[in-house]
Amino acid sequence: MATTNPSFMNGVPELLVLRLLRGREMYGYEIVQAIREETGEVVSLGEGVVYPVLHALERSGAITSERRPVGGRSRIYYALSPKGAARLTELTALWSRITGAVQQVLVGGGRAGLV
Amino acid sequence: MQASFDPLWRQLLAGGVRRRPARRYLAELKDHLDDLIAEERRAMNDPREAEIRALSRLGSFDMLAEAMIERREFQTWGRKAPVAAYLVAPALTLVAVTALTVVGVVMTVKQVHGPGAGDLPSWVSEFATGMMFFSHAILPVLLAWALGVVAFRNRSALIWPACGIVALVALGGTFHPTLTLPTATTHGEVAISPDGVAGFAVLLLVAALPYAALTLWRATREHA
Repeated sequence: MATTNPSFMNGVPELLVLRLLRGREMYGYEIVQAIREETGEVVSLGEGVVYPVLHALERSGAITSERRPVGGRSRIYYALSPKGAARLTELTALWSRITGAVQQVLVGGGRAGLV
Repeated sequence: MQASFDPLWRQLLAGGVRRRPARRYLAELKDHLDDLIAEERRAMNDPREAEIRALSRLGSFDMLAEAMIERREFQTWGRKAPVAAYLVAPALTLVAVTALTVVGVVMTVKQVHGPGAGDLPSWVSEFATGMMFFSHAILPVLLAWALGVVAFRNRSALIWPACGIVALVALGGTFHPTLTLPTATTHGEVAISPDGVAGFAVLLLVAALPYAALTLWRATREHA
């Protein structure tokens, strides 16, 4: 399975992770599978790449982590913090503005059509 | 077969990632790989093929290393600011501890050698000599060894630790404090006098030896 071009992915994993964690606590493997399923496999990362994203979000206070024993194994569960919820709102608004602007260019409207 | 993450560990440290986040990253990658293998095994009969597919889904070691290395928040100070970590901080520590040592000795002598006092007791002389030897010969060497161990553990590039060790030796050898104790008839004196070339050479040899030996040992082992 091909992975998505990284240059188009800046900021996207953060946004997806924060959005997915808004609903419930998840561990890394669950998060990656959820990203695959909910994006119809359009967004497909090298799966391990999600951990630096999670660790950076945790370090910035956007998410918290807790180690729990599950089925004889220890897993690290991640949860959205209030700071992360605010960051999600901010990123979602930014993403909407960008996709709206790109869409406007693609359909031929906006200033690009005048050049 | 279970994949070895040792090459990734080495890539992370060589890329300047701190040991603690690197260790946690590898632990989570191993857990993730176990989940992927279990998932692939449910889908196919060949366990070897399942593991190959799981590893492929996890990502190449280059990709996994790059994802962590590019994040500055996980890097060591030796990577983020090598000049500060390997040159400035050890040099400042040497200067500060040397200054404190000299001040401590002078204060002790002043306490013991009051106005109109006779010769100092012999323990003061021994204490002062010992402290001066510590600040001149032991302290730069200890700092150089500590710097070398940190650089070795973090797999830092050679250049900055080497410069740091040379700087410590140069500083320690150039600003060699010597103390003349007061007697019943003369005042005491603190002076700074540089070592001779032989003194520098010996200090450099002792200070650099462990780092050089460790680095050589690792290079030999990894090229074997």
